[in-house]
Amino acid sequence: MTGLEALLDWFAAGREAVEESDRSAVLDARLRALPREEIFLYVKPIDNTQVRCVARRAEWAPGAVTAAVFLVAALCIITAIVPSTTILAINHRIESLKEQKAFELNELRRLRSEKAELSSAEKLEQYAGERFIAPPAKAMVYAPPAKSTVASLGAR
Amino acid sequence: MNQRQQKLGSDRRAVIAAAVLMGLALAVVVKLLEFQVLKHDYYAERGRRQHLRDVRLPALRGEVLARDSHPLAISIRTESAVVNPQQIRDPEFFARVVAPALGKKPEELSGPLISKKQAGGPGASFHIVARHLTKEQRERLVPLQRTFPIHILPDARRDYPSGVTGAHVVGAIDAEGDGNAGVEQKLNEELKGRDGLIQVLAGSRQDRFITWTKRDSLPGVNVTLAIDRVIQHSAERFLREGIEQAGAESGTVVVLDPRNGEILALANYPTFDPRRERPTPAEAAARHTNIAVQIPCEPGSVMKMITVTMGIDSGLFRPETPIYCENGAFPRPGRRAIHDVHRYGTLDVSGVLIKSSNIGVAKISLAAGPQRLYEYLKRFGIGDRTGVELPAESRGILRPQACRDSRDRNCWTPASHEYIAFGHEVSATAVQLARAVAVIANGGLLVQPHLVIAKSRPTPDGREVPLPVEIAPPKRVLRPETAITMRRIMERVVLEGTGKAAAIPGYSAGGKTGSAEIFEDGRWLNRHNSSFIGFAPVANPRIVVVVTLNRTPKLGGVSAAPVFRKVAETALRVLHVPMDRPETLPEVRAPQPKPEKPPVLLASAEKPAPPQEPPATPALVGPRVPDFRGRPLVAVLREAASLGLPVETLGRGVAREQSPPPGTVLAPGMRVQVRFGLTP
Repeated sequence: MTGLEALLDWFAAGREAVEESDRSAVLDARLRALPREEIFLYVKPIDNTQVRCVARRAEWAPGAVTAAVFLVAALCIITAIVPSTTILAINHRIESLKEQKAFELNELRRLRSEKAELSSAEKLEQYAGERFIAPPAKAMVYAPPAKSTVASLGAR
Repeated sequence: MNQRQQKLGSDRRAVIAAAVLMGLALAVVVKLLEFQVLKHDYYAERGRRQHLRDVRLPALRGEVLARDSHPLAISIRTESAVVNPQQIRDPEFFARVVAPALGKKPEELSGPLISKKQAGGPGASFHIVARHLTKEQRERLVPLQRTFPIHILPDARRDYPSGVTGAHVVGAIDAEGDGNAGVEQKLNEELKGRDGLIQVLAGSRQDRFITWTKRDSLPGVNVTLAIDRVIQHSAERFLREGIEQAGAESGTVVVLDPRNGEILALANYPTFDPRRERPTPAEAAARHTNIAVQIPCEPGSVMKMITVTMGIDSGLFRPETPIYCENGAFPRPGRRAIHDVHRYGTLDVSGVLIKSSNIGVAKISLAAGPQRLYEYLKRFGIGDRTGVELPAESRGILRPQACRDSRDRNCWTPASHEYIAFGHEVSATAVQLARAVAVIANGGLLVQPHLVIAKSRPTPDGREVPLPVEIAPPKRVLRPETAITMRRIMERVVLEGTGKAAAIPGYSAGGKTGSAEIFEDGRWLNRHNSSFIGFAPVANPRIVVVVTLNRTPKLGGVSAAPVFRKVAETALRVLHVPMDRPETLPEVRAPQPKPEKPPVLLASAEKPAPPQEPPATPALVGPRVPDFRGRPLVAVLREAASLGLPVETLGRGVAREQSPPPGTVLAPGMRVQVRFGLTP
């Protein structure tokens, strides 16, 4: 095979060979290889009155029908399944979101409770007492003398 | 022959067999008839109950909020682990495996399980293994559910973030989730909402096949209270300190907004911790004893406020009307004498209240008559429930004035109005007293004390739908001018009279002390129900405070008045009420002008004037007026503002004249007039 033409010839030869083999398989008195001998022709009358013309379908028709059937079936199945599946998935999503919302709301309540507890007057007073109100050292406390106290040098 | 006999025998056997079969079939038919026709409903119901079960889905209890929307009580969804003890074959093995997962000791679990398993009965098929599971506990329990019949059920925990603060207002709930004190009990139906129902289709082994919601749960109503957390906490702290200092057994403080009746604080002692699921007996007793609304006690001298108000409002007396106070003993024929603590000669009506003279108010009551006194007591709400949202409120004790017949003992005696005038033979709760003081404080309107200021119901989409709150509108029971007059007189009680310890630095205050000695088991105990009722500031009162200390050896002016001062001072600061007095109370006592010789009045008109004590010089409390002369307007205004002096300016330029002169102590209600001029 030296070129495209040769390849096509090769394909054509193959096809001819196939057709030849098909023809040979058919028991036919009309078509056969003629030997190099004398030919005697016998004529047989053929009654064509009984012959009917049968229309030949295109080769692609069965495949197309099959494909169409499959397509329609697939569409039907998809039409039937997809919406319900989608709804199912959405419902599941909604339910999970609801559950998450309930959980988050519960967490919010818990945190509000904790916050209220931490900011309660009792706690704030406790923090203030612990951190900011330290009792003064004894040395820092100055006790003023009583009014009745009179300065006197007699004791010295 | 033999063949015939055999045939006959065979036929007989066949007939017997057929009869037996027919009998059996008939029995089946009869039984079927019983099942399907006669007892159809019964068996249908049993079958339905076996396969269809209702599972309760508890509604989330509503929140109780303070007026600043901070939660005072809030519910949080949790889970609890329960078992059926009858389904546990070996409780000890169960306890050994499950207890470590819950952080408990095995004997804590096995003991109740064994006892319930052995006891049997309807109550023995349910046992709570652990309530309010933590996340870790749940994670450890779930794998054990494959081995043991442990059920994890939804539950809810009630948190009280403020702890002891406001315990008697908020209340608590019991193990069943129902309120058993405070607002939790009173508004239980609204707070708990409506439980939902889940229907379960189960197999014969109670395996759940299908579950669906039969009824959605309706969450409880959120309730916002008028309680201010800071005022409430301060009231509780100062009450506790006051009780310790006075040696009292119990006490209560109520802080009320006189303009609308909102209760800003309600404190009782002893109190309890609502967070404690198993309270001590003392705490359980305190939980069910809300002194402020449930325990009425004799008000004592604070009732004189109503008597004097009656005298002035009815037009029989004026504040300056003199009353002879019999020098401390008022004998009447056939009755016990009425005594005063101190001997007073003639006092005017104001002085009667300021000095708290029993004889003076008894004479006012005598002049007005029992009918009028009863009418005014009812006007002030004595003997009627206030309608506050707390359980088991007492109406106090006020017997009917008119007797039904001669045998009726539950009515006033001929002398009752003399004793009721100074607070005996009558009882009132602290909330009732607060409502009565509010009449004076708000200009003569009887308001309904209430705790709830807003309600709302949460919706599934996260919003809140407001619900109406029904509060009775204020009712006028007193002329405004009488109320204002009474405010002035009650201010003098604090400045000059028995309530000096109630004076608030920076604010004007009015009030009345009360001390009712307790008579028990036929003798006087030398113990008092000491109280102080008051309001502040005097010109436009924002708060009414009632302090009651029970069974204290000290009188109200010594024990209850200091508590009033501390609570009122805190409340006024929290409410951002501007000061109307200097923060430091001056020690100067200005001499009071000598009153003119009073005319003799009432029962003592024919008696000779007894020797009178020299009139006491009341303390004239107020800032000293500085010398404004020579100063510009701005400087005058600045200094006046710093001293809290009301100033009236005339003209412009530099201050030339002022009235009153520099150095004068400015009496309450007076103002300084300063004239300005441009030329020297």
